Amino acid sequence: MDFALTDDQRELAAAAARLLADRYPVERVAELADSCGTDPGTWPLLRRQGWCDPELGMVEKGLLAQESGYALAATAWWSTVGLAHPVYRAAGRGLPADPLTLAWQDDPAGGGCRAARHGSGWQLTGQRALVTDATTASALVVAADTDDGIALFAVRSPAAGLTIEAQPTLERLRGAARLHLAETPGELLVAPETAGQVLADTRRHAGTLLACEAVGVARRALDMARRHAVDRVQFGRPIGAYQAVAHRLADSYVALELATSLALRACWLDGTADVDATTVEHAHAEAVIASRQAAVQACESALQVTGGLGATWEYPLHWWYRRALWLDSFDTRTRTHLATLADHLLTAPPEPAGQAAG
Amino acid sequence: MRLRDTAEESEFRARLRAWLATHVPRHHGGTAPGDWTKALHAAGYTGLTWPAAYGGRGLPPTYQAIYAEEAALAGAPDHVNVIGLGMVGPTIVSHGTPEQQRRFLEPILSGDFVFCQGFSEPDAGSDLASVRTRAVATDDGWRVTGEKVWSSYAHQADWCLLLARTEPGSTAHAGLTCLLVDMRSPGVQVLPLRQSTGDSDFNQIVLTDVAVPHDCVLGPVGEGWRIAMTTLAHERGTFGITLTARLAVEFDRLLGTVRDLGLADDPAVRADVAELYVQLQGLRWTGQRTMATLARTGRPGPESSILKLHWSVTNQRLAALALRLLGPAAMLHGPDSHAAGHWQHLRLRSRANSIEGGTSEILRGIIAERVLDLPRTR
Ligand SMILES: Cc1cc2nc3c(=O)[nH]c(=O)nc-3n(C[C@H](O)[C@H](O)[C@H](O)COP(=O)(O)OP(=O)(O)OC[C@H]3O[C@@H](n4cnc5c(N)ncnc54)[C@H](O)[C@@H]3O)c2cc1C
Repeated sequence: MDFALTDDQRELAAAAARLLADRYPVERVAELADSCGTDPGTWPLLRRQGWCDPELGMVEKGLLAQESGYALAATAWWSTVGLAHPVYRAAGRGLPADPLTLAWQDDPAGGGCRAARHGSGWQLTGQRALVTDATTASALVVAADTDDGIALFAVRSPAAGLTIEAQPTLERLRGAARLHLAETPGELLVAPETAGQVLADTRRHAGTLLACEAVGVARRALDMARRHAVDRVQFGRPIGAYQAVAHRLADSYVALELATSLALRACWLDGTADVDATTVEHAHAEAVIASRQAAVQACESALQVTGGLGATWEYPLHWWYRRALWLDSFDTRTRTHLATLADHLLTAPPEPAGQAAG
Repeated sequence: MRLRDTAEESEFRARLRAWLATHVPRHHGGTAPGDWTKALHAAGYTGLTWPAAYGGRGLPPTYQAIYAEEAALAGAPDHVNVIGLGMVGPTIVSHGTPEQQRRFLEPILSGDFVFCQGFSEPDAGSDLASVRTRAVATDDGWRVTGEKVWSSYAHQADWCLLLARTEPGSTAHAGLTCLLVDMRSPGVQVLPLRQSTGDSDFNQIVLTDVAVPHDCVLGPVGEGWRIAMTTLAHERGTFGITLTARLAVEFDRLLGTVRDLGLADDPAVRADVAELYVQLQGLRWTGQRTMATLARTGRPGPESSILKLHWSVTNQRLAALALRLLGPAAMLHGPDSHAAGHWQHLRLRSRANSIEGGTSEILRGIIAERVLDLPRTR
């Protein structure tokens, strides 16, 4: 047992932190978020630093996700590496160099997406919603129903019949979009026999990275609160000298450390061969639950500690809080993860073979 | 990074498990306090991580974690030797003279010396630096007079690590010294205190002119605070691994209770249980991070500061949930109560978890000051 980062992993995280600190000073984060902006300029730098290397291990990706959450980096890295690359890999394809994303969620307003054969290829028609980083993606992986079940297709962007409609969101740096597809050409990546499993594995992989991102968000919120607690003086003392403030932040720290441990563990298991699937799935659920708690708690404590300042648009903390709320709600619900764990914990062991019959 | 046992670790675990399976049942109920430690020692399971020069096996910290897990699973009667093996021993390794190391370490490992910790006093609890027990210099050493309270297992102990004021008129952290006191010395009186559970595991110690020779001063005279902090660091840090291992066993028992009571399909219970499990897993894997940092750098990382604090919170939540599951039957406390009153007892006992070894308020203050670098709150 050795639950420690290697020197290489530490260096990778430090280099990532430096790059992002340089690209995303807090004013720039606020400016980008304010204008719902994207920042394509960082993409080549990330690639150069190896963020998209196919050999990058899962723990390494987890560390990059942590730093992305800490910096609130406005890049399509997570959508690309977390959501789209696993599908390309499962399809045995090379990884495109440009930003990508995955569209699989139904529009809450109704309407799915279907694919039909057209000549030697496929055409997709319908809608997908809550698609992240859709406007920056050069290709979209789209889940669509076929006569044989769900399959995964690559759709270039722009493409005939494809409209990307931005949906107004609480969190503004990752965004959400509704895709409208009308006989849009798509290339089959993963056929129905395996697409369901590939999609589930991909969502889990991406969700584990989001757990890491949430750890980064929690760490940043705690840092902001801590800085303020040292600088802000009331009643003649820095407010951090009052226990009601200090103990609140200590509790944020507890939640942060628990989440850090579980998120890194989930990464390690996800990236390690010969670990059984249920262990990976449970570790994922634990990491998501703990990291959502940690991120929301750290942000809300920070909002309390920063007083009226924290309640303003100008003070940037709310951008991290918005990301925490996005993380808290994106994809599988916390109660579903809890139910997965409860099933595992409370399902009675199966009857010994031979006794069940008769 | 490797989150599973190595081949050597698995082999160690398997052997230990087999050994515990035969030996734990022999030590249940009524044996003398050091007996379990003696059996462990004979089998080579004490001092796993102590340096070989001090009679230990010099193994990496992960082996201590394996021991903690397996001992908890097997229900080993580990409580009495915890202070000597887990706290006082390592303090003597760090701060003792070579002569003291020869004299105390081997007997601690072998179970011949059971230790207790005499820090708290009626007027020195959280504010430990205000201890008043005073030691007056004599030709041969010191004469100690004062009163200690809440001293766990003092009624079974051979020795006590005592914090006393050696410099008359000194206040706070200065002027304190750590003494190794023979509990059989004339003038030492141990009076059991009854806990809210009805048990009597802790005691008052009254010291009246107790002679302590020079060679029983641990560390430099006047630097007792630093020595005592070493002991507390072990209690609040790596001991968290042992506490978490025991919590995991209680959690399994909780699952049994849920099933026995036919509540395994109750949605609210399921959510509570799963939520608790996430906290337990967080503690377990944070403990493993602490062990890995300890193995690499010789000291636990900052994350170790959450272990005792969050263990107490989680153990209390577990006990509260378990007792609530029983419904009105929670009030029955006798042979016919569920699991022989285990949950009733734990519910009461668990409230002291956030007091013993430093209260949660004190531990949050330590995180705020030392980890988060906030100004002093006291
Ligand atoms: C089961 C058990 C076993 C123990 N075993 C031992 C042992 O073996 N050896 C030993 O030496 N001691 C032992 N103790 C004593 C334990 O370390 C003390 O009880 C503990 O440090 C608290 O001290 P106190 O009881 O005097 O409470 P106090 O210090 O009086 O605290 C009372 C309350 O006030 C709060 N408080 C105090 N100061 C502050 C502050 N500055 N800011 C905010 N809140 C504050 C505390 O958090 C607590 O909630 C044991 C205690 C228990 C319950």
